[in-house]
Amino acid sequence: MKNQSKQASRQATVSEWVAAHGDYLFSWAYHKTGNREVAEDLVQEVFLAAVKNFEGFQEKSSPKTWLLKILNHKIIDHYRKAAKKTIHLDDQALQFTDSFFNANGNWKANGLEEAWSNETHLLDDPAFNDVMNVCMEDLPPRWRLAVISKYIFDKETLEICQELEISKSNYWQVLHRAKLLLKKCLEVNWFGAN
Amino acid sequence: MLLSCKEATALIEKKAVFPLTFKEKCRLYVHVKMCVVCNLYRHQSQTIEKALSKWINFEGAPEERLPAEKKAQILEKIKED
Repeated sequence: MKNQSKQASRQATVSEWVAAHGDYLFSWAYHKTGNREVAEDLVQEVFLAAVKNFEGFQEKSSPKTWLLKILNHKIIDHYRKAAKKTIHLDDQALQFTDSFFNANGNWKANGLEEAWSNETHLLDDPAFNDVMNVCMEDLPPRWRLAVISKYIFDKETLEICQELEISKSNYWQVLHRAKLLLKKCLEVNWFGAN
Repeated sequence: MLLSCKEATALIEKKAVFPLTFKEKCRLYVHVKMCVVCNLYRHQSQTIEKALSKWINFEGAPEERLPAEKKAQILEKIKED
């Protein structure tokens, strides 16, 4: 009986959190995954996990922070699964980024080298956020995972490598390729277009 | 042995997450001194880094709403548990 009432009170608390933080978590998940259905499902999983692991919630952190932490792990899991299915996209992107260099491994000129000079204000331009969405979407899932995890996890780089199950050198090599692709995408969709 | 631009930019990214060896540091230093495009890349990379951190932290992104039906569905599932 006592257990039942405990369960009921947990359910009531988490239900309140759905009302209070549902939109925020959904926005976050949608922003990171670019897919509404995926985002809805992830948010649902978060709240169900919250009921199940309620003991893990300590009053010293806010519910929002705790829920966000669970969500971030779900997002990483989502990308990890996607990454396994899309290894062919890595190869394509690898070839594409190789094509930015000549046979000696030196840059091919693209005429946009100097276009970055008025970059100081770009971070304040709301339209830039849309371009970032597009460019992040363009990264193969495994690359996106590496890039995102660096910011999502408040962890040491070595722990991130363990989390992603990749070696140190693989990690920075993926970050390098991801950066090359982002640079190219921004040049085509932002600097070249403006 | 001189680095190619591909190798130099890779080291620039490595440096952002791991310490470089002394040899790597020297080779990168020499390459960036001589190569205008890689020197620009260094700044571009930092700009992208700033943009990423901003993007990931959601600044400037519009607030979305979790659809009411989904909310109701989640509340149902919480009770079932």
